[in-house]
Amino acid sequence: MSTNLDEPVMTKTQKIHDYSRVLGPAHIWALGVGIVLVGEFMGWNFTIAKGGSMGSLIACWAVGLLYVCLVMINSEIGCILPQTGGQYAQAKYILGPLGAFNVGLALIFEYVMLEASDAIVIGALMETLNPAISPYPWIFLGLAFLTWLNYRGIEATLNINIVITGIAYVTIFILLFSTKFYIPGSSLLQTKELMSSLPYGWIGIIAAMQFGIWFYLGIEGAVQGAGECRSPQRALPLGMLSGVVSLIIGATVTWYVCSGLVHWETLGSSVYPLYEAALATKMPFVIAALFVGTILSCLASANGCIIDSTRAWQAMANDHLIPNWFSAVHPKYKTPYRAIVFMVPIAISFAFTGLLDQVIAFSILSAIYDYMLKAIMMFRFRKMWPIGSIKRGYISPWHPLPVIVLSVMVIGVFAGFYLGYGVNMLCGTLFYIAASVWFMGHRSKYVNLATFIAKGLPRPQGY
Amino acid sequence: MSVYVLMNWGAWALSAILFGFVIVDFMKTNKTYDESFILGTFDQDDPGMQKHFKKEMTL
Repeated sequence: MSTNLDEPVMTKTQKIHDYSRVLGPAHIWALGVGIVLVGEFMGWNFTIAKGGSMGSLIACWAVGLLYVCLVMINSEIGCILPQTGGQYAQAKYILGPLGAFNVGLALIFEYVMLEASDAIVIGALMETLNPAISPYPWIFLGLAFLTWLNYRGIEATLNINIVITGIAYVTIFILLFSTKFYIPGSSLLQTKELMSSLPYGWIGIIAAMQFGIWFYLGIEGAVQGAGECRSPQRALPLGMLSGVVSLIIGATVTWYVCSGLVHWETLGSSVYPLYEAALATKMPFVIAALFVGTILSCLASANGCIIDSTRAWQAMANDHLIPNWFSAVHPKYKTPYRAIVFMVPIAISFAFTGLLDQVIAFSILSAIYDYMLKAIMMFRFRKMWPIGSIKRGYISPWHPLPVIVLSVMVIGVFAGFYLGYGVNMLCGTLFYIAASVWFMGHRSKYVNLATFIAKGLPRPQGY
Repeated sequence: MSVYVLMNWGAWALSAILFGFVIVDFMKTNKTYDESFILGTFDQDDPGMQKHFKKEMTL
């Protein structure tokens, strides 16, 4: 056994940790939109409970702006640091071990909670078929199927995601056109009767922003696949920006059609708002289409979440931020198989609680911690590697405006979170503080700074 | 027994088969996995790392 990180060992190690480089822009689109599209099928409607119909729409667009900024930032950094692990891998270059640990942990909880909430909706939807159907076996089956699929390889998994995401997206438009919204006389939409404006005033918009995140939450996760892209410089900006545009269109259509078919108070507490809207049309084909669309969107989302959370976990293990045992890649399927298996009981235990809004709230809280760190990362990134000092595949325009907008919006979402889920926010914050204390007190000594950052980038300015 | 109850049992059974495949393959792969590939990422000159390595690999 060699006693140092000499060339042969590194080569062997890199080989065993290498994934297949098979992904293109369509896969990145499917990974990003696939995770997020479920947000149109469930969860977003809690914005209506907080801010009314108009408050929901304003929150939807305002938070859309947050994500445009986020994707621009992510694309610029992700093109230069195209490592699997996405934002975690970026954070380790820019923030160091503690920052990277927090970004990684926040990402993992964001995605595992999202995966659990997808499974809850699958169970709840199956229950609508007949009261004799229990949600638990279907929650279990959904997670078992996706775990099995992910265990066996990423390419087939994402090819399936492209198809099911596409079908789920189309069902939103099937619902829209079934309402005949384009013929004023025979339109099923009763926007004036069913919608509310701003029942809780402007404070309602702030409160709604927390769940407005749900329209887009997870699109940034597409960058997790950077290490498996044929050309990250092309695939990341193309896949992610087209993804955000698809989602803004989808979110607006969803809001419009649901608000016109279901009373805002009913809509505000529904587990499956689009399916609820389909039931209101009383058209069997539309109801069946939205049933299938909701199930597929949940599967696509949970699928993407498994990909993202396990890549982040594996990348952290690779750097010894958590036990290195998890970093192993399956010799045949080339997947982080130990990380995949480890995440299963966590997702199942949260999904079996059935507390959809609580699980969603923890996912959102983790996401906004991550976005807050992202804003700091972009400032530092431009300071460490200014324009011209390094070859960039994509340059985020109008810097620092996107970072400022992102920061302001994140503060708004934190305020909304405090209004609706103050205790959850406190508990979540304490959890991340406790994890950071554990990391600094126990784990950080195992991080090998000589191998923490891969060679190849020029030395940052000032270092 | 209604068809819906049977569907529930079918879902449990299918889940068990899928998880069964994953768990069996996981154990088989772990048994034959060459952990020295992972070992390569440690700085093995560091005594702290050597001590830690035993804990890491026997998790």
